Amino acid sequence: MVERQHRLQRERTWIAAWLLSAAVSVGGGTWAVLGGAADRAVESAYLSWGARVQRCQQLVDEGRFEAAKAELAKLDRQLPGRTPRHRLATDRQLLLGLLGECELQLGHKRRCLTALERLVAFNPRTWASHHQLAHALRHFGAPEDAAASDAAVLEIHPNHLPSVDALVAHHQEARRFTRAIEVWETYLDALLVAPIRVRLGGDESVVLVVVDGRPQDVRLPLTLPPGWRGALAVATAGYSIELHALAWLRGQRVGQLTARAFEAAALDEVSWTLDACTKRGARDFVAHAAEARLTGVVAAPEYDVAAMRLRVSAFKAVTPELWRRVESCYDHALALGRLEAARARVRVGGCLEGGSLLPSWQTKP
Amino acid sequence: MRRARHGWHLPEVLLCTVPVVGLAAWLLIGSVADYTRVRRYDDWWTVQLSSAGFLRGRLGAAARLPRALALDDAFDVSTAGPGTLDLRVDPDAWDDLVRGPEPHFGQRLPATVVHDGQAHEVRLRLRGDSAIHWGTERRSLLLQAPKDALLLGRRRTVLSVKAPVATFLSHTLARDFGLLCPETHLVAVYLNGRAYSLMRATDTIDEEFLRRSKRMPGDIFRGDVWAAHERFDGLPRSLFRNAYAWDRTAVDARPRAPGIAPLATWIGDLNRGDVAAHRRLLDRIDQDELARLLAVMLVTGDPHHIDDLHNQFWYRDPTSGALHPVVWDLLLRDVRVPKPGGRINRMWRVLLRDPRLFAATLAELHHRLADETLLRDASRRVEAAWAAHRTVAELDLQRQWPAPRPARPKAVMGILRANAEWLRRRIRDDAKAAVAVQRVGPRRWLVDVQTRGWVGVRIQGLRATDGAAVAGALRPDLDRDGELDSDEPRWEPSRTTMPAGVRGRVTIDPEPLHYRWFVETNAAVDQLRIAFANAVTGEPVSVEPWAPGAAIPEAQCHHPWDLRDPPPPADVTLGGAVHLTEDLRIQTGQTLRIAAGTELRLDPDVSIVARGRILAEGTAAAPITVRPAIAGRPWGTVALQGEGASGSVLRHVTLRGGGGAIIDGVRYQGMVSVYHASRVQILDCELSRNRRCDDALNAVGADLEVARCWIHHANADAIDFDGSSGIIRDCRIEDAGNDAIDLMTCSPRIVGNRLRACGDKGISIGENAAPLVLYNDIRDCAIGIEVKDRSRPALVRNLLAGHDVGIAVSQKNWRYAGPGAPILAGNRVEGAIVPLQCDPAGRVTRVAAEGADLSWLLGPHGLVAGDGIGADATWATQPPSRRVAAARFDASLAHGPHPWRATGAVRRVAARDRHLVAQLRQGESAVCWNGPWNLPDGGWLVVEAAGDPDIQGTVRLIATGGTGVTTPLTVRTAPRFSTLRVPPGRYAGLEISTRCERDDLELRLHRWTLSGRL
Repeated sequence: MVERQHRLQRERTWIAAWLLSAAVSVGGGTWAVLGGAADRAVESAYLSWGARVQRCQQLVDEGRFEAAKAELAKLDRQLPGRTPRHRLATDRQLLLGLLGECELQLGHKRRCLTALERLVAFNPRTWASHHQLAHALRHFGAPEDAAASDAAVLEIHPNHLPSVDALVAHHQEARRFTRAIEVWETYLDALLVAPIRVRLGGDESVVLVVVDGRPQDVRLPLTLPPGWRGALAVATAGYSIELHALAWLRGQRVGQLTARAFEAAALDEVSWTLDACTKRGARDFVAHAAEARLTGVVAAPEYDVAAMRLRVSAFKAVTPELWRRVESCYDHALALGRLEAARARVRVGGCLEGGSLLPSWQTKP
Repeated sequence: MRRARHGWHLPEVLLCTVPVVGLAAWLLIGSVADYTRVRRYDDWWTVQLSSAGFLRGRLGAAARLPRALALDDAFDVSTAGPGTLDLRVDPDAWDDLVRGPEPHFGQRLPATVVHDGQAHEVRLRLRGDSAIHWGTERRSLLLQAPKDALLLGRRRTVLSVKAPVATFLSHTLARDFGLLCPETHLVAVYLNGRAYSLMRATDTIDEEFLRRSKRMPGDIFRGDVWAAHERFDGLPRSLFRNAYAWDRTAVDARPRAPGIAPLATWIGDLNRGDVAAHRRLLDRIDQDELARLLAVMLVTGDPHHIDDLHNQFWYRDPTSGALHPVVWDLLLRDVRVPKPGGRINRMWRVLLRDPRLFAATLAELHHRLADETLLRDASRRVEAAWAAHRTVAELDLQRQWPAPRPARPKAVMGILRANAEWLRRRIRDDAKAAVAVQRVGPRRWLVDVQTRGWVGVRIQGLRATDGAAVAGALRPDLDRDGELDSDEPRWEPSRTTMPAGVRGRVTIDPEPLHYRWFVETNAAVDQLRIAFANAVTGEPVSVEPWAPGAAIPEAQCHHPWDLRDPPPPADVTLGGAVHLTEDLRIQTGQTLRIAAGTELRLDPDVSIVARGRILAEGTAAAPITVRPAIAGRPWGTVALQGEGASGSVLRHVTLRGGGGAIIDGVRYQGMVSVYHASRVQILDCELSRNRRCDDALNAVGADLEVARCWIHHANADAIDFDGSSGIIRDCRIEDAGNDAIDLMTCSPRIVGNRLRACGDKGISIGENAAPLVLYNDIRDCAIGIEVKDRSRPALVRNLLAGHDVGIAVSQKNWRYAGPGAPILAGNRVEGAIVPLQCDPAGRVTRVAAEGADLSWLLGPHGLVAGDGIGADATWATQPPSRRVAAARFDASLAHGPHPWRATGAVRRVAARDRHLVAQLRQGESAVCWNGPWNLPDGGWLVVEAAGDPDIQGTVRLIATGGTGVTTPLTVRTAPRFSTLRVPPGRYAGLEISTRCERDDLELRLHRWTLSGRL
């Protein structure tokens, strides 16, 4: 009887435990689902993959290539993102790039090229993958293949200066001067738009200037009182520029007859303060960093100003070595007329941030 | 008793609770698993999802399960008609395709599609740019048919699950607005006999699409960086900043084709922002077309989804260089509620800086929404499509969240009607302006107007204070220098439209825009008042006063007066001996006159390109000659480009040694090239020995008359008509390197020509052309006449002699899915090795011409036949008869009901490839069409049919309130026409009745036409 009592007691305990655990599980699960904890856990699991790849990046940055390679190889097997549509596709790309870098540093040619070819095949539209492969191929002494990869970069990103530089050098060394000129002129003509910030007094505007070395008129509606005097600041976003002219347009008032037209300002008299850029020639400014900026004090005319017109040219980055090569190619190809035309559109200098490497705010949705 | 004494025992408790707990666990774990699965894709759709949503979806689906099962049981795909696709796929292969760690996006599965009782072999794969297309139980698919067996005339068909009813409505609306847009249908899709989903079927945007849209093959640029598989990491994401993120879905592969360059140049101009760049932008687009596109985007409430990142398709017409938008993935939204995070794309932001574009958009909207026609037609279409697939649609409504569900017709039409009403109201009420009128002279007034709404205003009249009309001149400050200049014109009130400035951001917002006018009154008045009207509706508008002395802000947008077209330059006249060393360009509105007897010598590659008229009127005694300046080196082309060149005349002009040209990115393929111009006459001219380019005369999208010309020793084709109309008559064409006359997708009349010794065909009729070829004398070519690729010419009383093949019927281009189908009437073939060579799938319909009345055949072309055969025969013109009603039968995905009705002993009636097939049983049967048709002057009924000769048939045109007229239906194995002269009257319908003495007979009806006299 006592034993039966005990059994019943145990059974009740089990029932209570089961009911309690079931209620806790179902209740907890429901709370987790309805309260969003389950979603956060899923998101966190996805993010943890990115963190693991970042740790590998850290190892590579520290030069611990063997350790990084081992971890990357493990991750390569485990990482779910196997198509470019997957949310971890960028992690997969980074992983393969790091793997290629490790193998390159460790001198494993075949493994390095295999990793980088996988990287290119994973998403052929990423120019950086082709660029990394081109670099590796050059490193391992395959210049023709490297040139093909450089050409692939330029198909996607025709403004990429290092690839242009490498390809022009490659063709010049092979005495294919016409091909070298073609590569150079394609770069010169490739569409590139510079977001240049113009600040006048308290007003700031971003104006888009096509970077092709040709003058472009930019018209900015604004309101300035008569005789206004203040700072004109132009942030070039890393592009070398030439300021050809500045003109003011007189404002109109309702019911008043006032003749008006754009009136040129004396730009030559402006004294410029230069940040991350240098002045070359009367109105030429060569940028050295993405933060390049010129600031000068300008004076508006003695009337209301309703608009400003700036005539400006923006130039693509060109290294002195590249320009020397290009000049030499034009010389060898006896294309001196084309050389002069190109020269008018070139300012030697500039930086990679001016077109080759774009800031993330321009490249992310 | 036991339970009463001791309560619940563990087994009983487990028995009762485990299923409940298990069910809860299944719901919870399943919801999290679903969420984990879809969140593999981090896109706009999956970020809206949650496990809680999946949990609710599962509970909802469980509640709807009985209804879903009942619906599922009610389906019988075997009885489904057109518009229903039954996909037959290996179930294991299908599971492999859609499941696994990641779906196999690129993998193509072999499948069979059954449509309207007919099976087609295809390969299918998953498609779509976001997880909404593949993240749920229903997937968007791409069906690809083999080249030699197209699916309903198409190589590729897209089946999309995303908002099928709403997007069906928006895309059909885009076609209503005359835009390039793929054909769209609502279809019910079954998978292995079970209902799968209601889907939107549409074409892919490629060369086939261009050909179906009757456009010349050229580049189609596609912009889509949204799709995760097409990343352009490290580059500008905006398609209108980065020309290199575009690719091409149709490619102009001819040598020296410009590739992506025209698009890059256009995008470059889009980013320059100055007036000159804006003009260049406009030169490359059709502004009316852009206005229609924006209008349909506003009606559908979706100016956002065709954005900076995706859904961009632009066709570049190689014969004009113009870029045309192709509508793709236009959604239906409430126009009053902007899409969260939506932004008007950069192209619109730039183009809308031109106030004229938005004014044209509003005018288009006003015109389209003036009555209920647009909405009524849209409603009818959607209701009919829903009714045809109601059961599958209802099943879709029972699906588990988040599978996209179709919206009901009432819901989508509700959105459309609300959008239309909002737009109507805004166009009516948002013409706002401020005005200041100041006297600046005894009879001169300064008028400052600022538009402040969406809609512009125009000056309706001048009034004195007592309301009396004041006569005077309105003079705009066109150069906007603030003062009246002597050269500023006087405009009539009707020309004083002031479009409103707008700015595209999240929505299209008004931007104040200033206009300055000077009014010169004929008599002195104390006070001047100006009456304004809404620029779109014409209704009077009351304006606000504008305080004198207030500063006038400069607008961000362009001023319409800065963008006005410059006056055309003076006309050009050439006479005597002229040596052109550079291209001569004639602008729109300008005329080039070439005097009789002029001798033009053109340097190598130098061309005459006219966007205005050319009047080159030589005489027989003093012809105009155009020759190379350097013997043996070809000059370029004489090009008539665009509507501005319409009405040009070349008479008694001798052209020799041209070589075609590529000018402004347009390839001119002929020594004489007539592109998109109408009413052009080329009379009594001699064209010969063109070099390098294919054609002596090339016409594209043009309407022209070529008469009494002598064309000889052409490099390839002597005359090439692409998508053109008109007449080629009484010409002599000899020794062409290829064809004497080459026709593509056009229907000109070719009458009374003499064609001799051409390298290939006398007349080549291809790519869905339907010309009338009458009384031609064609000799000594490889093939007399070749009919290809679904062309349907009428070949009447031609004389063909000395060819290897007299008439050939063949297929050349797989995109047209079949050979030609000529009508042969009274042609004579002499001395040919093979008189008639016909592809097995070709169709030849013979008509007895000897002594027969052929007015039913020639009447629609406006010709009357005389006696004889070949070029010596006589003929005359008359007003063409008009088509009152007609039926052709192309199998399509359009849903039922059919326009025909079958009664009696008919087993099945279905549209097949180019014919209607009726499977008949023993007994009497009929296939009927309903009218009514009014023929006040009588006309002709023509029926083309084939079938089992045992079928006895009658064609009856049923008169309203009477019996009508009848004729026997001629049924032979080969197609035959049955014709019936119809007396004047009103007719209620057409009945084709048959009588069969045995089962399993087949009648194929190719077409019928009812035409009346004008």
